[in-house]
Amino acid sequence: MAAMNGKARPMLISLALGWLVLMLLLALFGGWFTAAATHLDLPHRLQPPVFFGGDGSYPLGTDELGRGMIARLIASIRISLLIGFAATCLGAAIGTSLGFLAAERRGWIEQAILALVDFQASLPFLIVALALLAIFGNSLGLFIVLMSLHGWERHARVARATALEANAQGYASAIRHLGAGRWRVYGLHILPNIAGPLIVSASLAFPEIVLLESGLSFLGLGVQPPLTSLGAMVGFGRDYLDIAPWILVQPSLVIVLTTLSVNLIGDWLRDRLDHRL
Amino acid sequence: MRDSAPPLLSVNNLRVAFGGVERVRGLTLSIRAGQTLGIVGESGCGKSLSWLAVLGLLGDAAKIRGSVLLDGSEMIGANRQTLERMRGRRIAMVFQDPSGALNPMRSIGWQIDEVLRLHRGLRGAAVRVETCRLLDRVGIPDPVRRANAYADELSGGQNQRVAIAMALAGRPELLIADEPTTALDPTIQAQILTLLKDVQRESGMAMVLISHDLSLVSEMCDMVAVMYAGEIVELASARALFAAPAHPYTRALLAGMPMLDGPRRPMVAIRGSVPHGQDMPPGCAFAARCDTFVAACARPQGMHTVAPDHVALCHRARIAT
Repeated sequence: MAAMNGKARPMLISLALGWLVLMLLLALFGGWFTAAATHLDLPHRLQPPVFFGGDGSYPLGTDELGRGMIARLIASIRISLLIGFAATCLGAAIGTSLGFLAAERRGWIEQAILALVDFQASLPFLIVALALLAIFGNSLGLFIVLMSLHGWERHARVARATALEANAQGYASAIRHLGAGRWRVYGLHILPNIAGPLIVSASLAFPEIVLLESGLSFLGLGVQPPLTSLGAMVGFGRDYLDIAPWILVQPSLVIVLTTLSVNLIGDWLRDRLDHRL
Repeated sequence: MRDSAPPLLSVNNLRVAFGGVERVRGLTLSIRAGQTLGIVGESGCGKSLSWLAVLGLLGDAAKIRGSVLLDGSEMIGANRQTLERMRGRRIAMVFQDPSGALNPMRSIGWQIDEVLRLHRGLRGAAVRVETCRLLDRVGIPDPVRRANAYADELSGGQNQRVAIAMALAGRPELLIADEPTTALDPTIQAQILTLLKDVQRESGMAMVLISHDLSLVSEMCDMVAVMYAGEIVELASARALFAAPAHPYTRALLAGMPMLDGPRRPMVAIRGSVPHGQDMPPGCAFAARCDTFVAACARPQGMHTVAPDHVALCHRARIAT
């Protein structure tokens, strides 16, 4: 394709890609560290990392129970990324499907979906999440589904608007007139046209979900021990902020770099996918 | 002029209503293979709507009655699969806005490939070969390279050529061209119309040309149907319609058309506006705007035969000519 050659990748994007690949590798192959992540070494609790003047036996230091920060971080990245990616993809799928459904069926189905969208957009999601967690309890699967409900309404809006436009007097109606079925129209024709906005919307949703997960875990309602996540680490690290700031600073740094990378890459991908830009 | 062969498509008393308001009020016409039928009328008279109804593309909100026979098989009420197999393969459509009718995120070659796969069962390299042949047929230069272009990289006229290639890909027996040149400038208009005529002559397909341009229709069509407020008010051969218009509305339309040759005369506008929905009079829909109104016009009208192959929905049609 014409759009796929010629343009050089900016340095910043390469860095972001590199960081994300590193995070993904850690998430995929970090399983070996999860045992170490719960290993207590009480005599060596609150060891500072090397750049805080530590002796290097624990390069990134230890936490309040003497657990190595490297192992803790990797185990947390694993969970946080799993929740972030799974929930973002699920949310995009739910939102896009509902948006297409609204555009295809119109009538009361559309009204019901739009009402849901407004409902979702007008209610602080944190309140909904707290209520649902209180009612249904907490498990990783349920937590991912819950997080996926965050931001679905944006995808739904974009999908519906694009589909309506295309159906009204455009390529979608044209190909329908030439005999394409509705799966083909939505999957092969309209979906590529919302890929750009969808990626932007998803790259915004991903950091939001990671932050939301962090917030809920910080409040003690998210990921429960012995599982750990970046947000949970920040939450537990808060108590030691003045004597052992590395417990909080390191997962925070990972959150910032990861969400920034996803945003940058999302923006760049959108430009690459649209041959007009 | 009459042909004893059964018509390719015959529409009988087609009615389309939205929310209790009839927008198409009993359309009856037929098209034979290879024939060109022009449909003229002002905006909102139901000329596009009728064909969307024929193709089953109006959705659940529209209530459609009547009968549409394609080669003897009923299309109104046919199931979705049947209609999808028929669209594009037997009846294809070309639209007014060529740039909007092409997917901006797919190359034009991809889009023609798709129709070929859907309707002709072509696979592999044969698809692109046929796509390039079609692009060449509709006059796109350098088709092999152009097949990879996107709609925004081509001009409006070229986009309409591509849209025509897409419509032709399924080898339809009937092509419905819904104001195919309205969005194009006059030079390109002529080229596109010549292309459509050539393609029709080669393939022997029938064509319905929807337009509000009377001169265009007179050049292109064998038969012309004039629509007003959801019904056909006059149906005649193109020559008869322009030589001896029988319905007052047709006469008014022709009077409103500027002539390139002949004496200069002021153009005449039709006073009033089209009746809509609930305001539809029981008698002639044009009565309120007609210069030759008499009391009998307020009664329901029937088709009057003016000449062979020439009918008009006016009780004074025979008197008038």
